[in-house]
Amino acid sequence: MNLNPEDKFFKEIKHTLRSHEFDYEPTHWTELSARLSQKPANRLGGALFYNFIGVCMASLIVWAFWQQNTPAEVQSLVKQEVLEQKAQSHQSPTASIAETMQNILQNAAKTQLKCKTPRASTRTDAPILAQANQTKVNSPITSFGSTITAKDRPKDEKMGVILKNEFLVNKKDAVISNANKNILVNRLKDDNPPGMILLESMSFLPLATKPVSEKLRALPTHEPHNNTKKQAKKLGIGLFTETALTQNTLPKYYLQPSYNVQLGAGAGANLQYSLWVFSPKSDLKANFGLTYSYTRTKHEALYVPRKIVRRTELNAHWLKIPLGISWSYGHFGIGSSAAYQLPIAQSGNYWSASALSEGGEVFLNRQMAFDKGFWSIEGLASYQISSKWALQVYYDLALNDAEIDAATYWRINNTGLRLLYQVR
Amino acid sequence: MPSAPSDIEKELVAACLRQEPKAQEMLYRQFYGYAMSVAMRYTRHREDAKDVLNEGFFKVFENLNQFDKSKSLKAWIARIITNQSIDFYRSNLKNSMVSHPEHLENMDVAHNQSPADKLYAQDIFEAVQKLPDAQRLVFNLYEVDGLSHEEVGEHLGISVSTSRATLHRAKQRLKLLLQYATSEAKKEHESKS
Repeated sequence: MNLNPEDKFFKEIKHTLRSHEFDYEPTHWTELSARLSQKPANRLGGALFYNFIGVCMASLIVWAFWQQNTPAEVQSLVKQEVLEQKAQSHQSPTASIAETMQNILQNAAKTQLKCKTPRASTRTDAPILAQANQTKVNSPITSFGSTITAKDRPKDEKMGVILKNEFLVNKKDAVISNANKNILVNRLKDDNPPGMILLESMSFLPLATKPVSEKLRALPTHEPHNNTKKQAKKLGIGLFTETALTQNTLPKYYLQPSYNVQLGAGAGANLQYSLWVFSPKSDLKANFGLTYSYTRTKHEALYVPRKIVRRTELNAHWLKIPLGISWSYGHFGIGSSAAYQLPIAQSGNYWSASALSEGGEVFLNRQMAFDKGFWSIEGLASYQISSKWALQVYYDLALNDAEIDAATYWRINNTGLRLLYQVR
Repeated sequence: MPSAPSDIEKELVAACLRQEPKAQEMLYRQFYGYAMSVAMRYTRHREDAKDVLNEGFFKVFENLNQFDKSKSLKAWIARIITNQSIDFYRSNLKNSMVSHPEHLENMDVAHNQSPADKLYAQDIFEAVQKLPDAQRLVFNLYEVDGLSHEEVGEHLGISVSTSRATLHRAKQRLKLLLQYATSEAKKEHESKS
């Protein structure tokens, strides 16, 4: 068959492209083998381990602060209060629901039932929780078993607007390579723009408050606040709905659905269900929940490390299963959570992650390109400077971020300092 | 014609399924040259090719249980690498489909010579890598991998006419690039002698 010169030319080119084989480079295998040797179970174990260490260390700091800065008299009163509550709860372990309800109503009648005081929120940031307790301490009309509805609440208590200016101290990713344990600072991250201003408004329907005794009410507090939700620190514009179920005895449980619209580096909607288990005595909380999110993002992303590519992506749904715990006292709060995220799509799609972290809600807008589920851990320590200002240190750790680097297993996605300011 | 895996390959696959690192390395080593070649012609440069290759091989090992043993292992791996390459550039593809201005007019090209004569494989790969993403993908899928324009369109989410037009531009550009490479090589040779 006669081919014209051009056809002949391309035939040769095609032949070369098809038949040529490149020489083997062992370094390429080294990168891949490190990734292959990392079993999912190891990654999970490691995540939980480091998360646990983080929580322990933070708790130690908070405990030390408590020991140093809380007067012995106050400590003693609190301990006594806790003991009394324990004794009360043990007195009638088999009390029927009817009896319990009767007790609630009697207590409520004694302490001016249906007052217009917000309930102690357990959903909000750790320092807020602490302040919620203080609110009740200072408020003589807060009563055990009181019920507050949205209708009862003054308008100014239902809505809060928070203006946040977020800046990152560390603009670089710290990538910890599993192979040699070196910390590499090798990548500039452009998908968390500094100076992000985010607004949030919220509405909620609380149904229960925590019992507070006269002794605790008499304790000195740092700053009284009437509406704990006003000081909540979350990112994005969100409409939160909370439903609480409570018992006479502790702990409490409640299911929290929330609907969250986020603006900033990314915009989207977030539907979240969390089941919270907490003990007001110790301010210890744990949550289990599912989050569905729909996010549209438009920002710089680093899918390919060496190239910065501008993308507009419509992200599909993803599923996130967070598990978190937090602890707070006074002005200090600490929280940490681990989340398993399951993108429901094939490789090549990009995922935006909104991370829930107790002690605060950390919003990440990191683009992910995983075709499998992965773990991420978020943590946050916060310090309430005043009624309007709070300082937060946070981190987010993603595991098996191998899309970015084949040898990377641990990756600090986002770490930094956040100064929060609330406009009332 | 791609053939079914040999007995050795079958044993390798079985060992890889048992997560034996040595077998994984052997499989990687055996198909590295060809797979790297696929990755190189689909990507812009060597670093990208390495990323695509390793991501592709990660998927190979993860999905090896789905491999049909009656078919060619080499072709299966090549297809995964190809798909990985397309995914690698997919997000950028739309912009890349827009006609790129040709910056080759000023190249000192000797138009009367036969370009392929004095070219090495490296020059050809480099020329292909210099094509814009869309042109490179279409050229590879259609010309090298033998897909139809309908199939190319399906893979890349573009119309048949766009695929045809992109291929035409790719070939024109590639020809110019290779002619330029040839003339450069000739000049270098002359200066040495």
